[in-house]
Amino acid sequence: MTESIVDQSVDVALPGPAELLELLRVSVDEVFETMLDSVAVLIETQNSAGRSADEAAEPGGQSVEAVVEFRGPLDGAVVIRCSDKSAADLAREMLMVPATEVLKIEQVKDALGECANMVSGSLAGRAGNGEGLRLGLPQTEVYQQADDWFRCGRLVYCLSQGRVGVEIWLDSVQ
Amino acid sequence: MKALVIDDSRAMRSILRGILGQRGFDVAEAEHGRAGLQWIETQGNPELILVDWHMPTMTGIEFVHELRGQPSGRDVRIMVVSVETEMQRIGEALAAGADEYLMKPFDADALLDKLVLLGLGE
Repeated sequence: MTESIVDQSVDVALPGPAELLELLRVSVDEVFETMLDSVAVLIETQNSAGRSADEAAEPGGQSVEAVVEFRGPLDGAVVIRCSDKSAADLAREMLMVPATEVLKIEQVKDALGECANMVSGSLAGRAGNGEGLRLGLPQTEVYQQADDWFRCGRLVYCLSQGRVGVEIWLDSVQ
Repeated sequence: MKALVIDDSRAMRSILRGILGQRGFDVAEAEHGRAGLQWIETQGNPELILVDWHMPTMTGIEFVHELRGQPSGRDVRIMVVSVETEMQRIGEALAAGADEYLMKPFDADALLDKLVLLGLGE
């Protein structure tokens, strides 16, 4: 008997920008609910594509960001941006230290990087359609998106002492 | 009991140290796999190693491979703690020699459940 070979692979469409933003929301919620002491509230969802201004930073504050790139069926990055005050707030929540404790900027950046890492990992498990997105190491220094990348969405969360923006960027050439 | 936490994130090392410390572990830290192996060379095997996957210098999986390749490293309990969620990747970690796998993000209860599975908790 001749064994027939049937290609059972199924082309599953990759998520579009709107679906990706929803997957990002689920991923951020999971990370914040698991790792933070207090509640982070989603206060704004921006579906618009475009270049990023530092909209999350409070006036007069310094901006801090953490980026994790992903490669695979989708190429892009998860970016967390906030003021240094909000970043310190997030870091204290993650590290379970009192609000009065002053953290070094290296500790704050490291915590923000780990937060971006966990959000990216959670997103990769949901958005890669089983093919797996490979994650880069978190970057917390000056980061420049490639010219042909576009921001496909942004979520703004309110923490106890400020706001945090979480963005997803995609390579438009894919 | 001694535990070694290997992660390039200082924040994650601090979180794991806090949870393990509350359970009575004496916790040491290393920032990548090579530093973890160097710690073991000088201090001996701990009862438990928690190791991240993606790290510069030496990844967690390379660390597990190398430690399990040494006669003295075959009995230590190793848990990979990583953001990788694909079953294939988890299988890769277990095939390399890890005893358990914990996905990030996690809470203290999830880690303590894993310790029970490893025979290190109640």
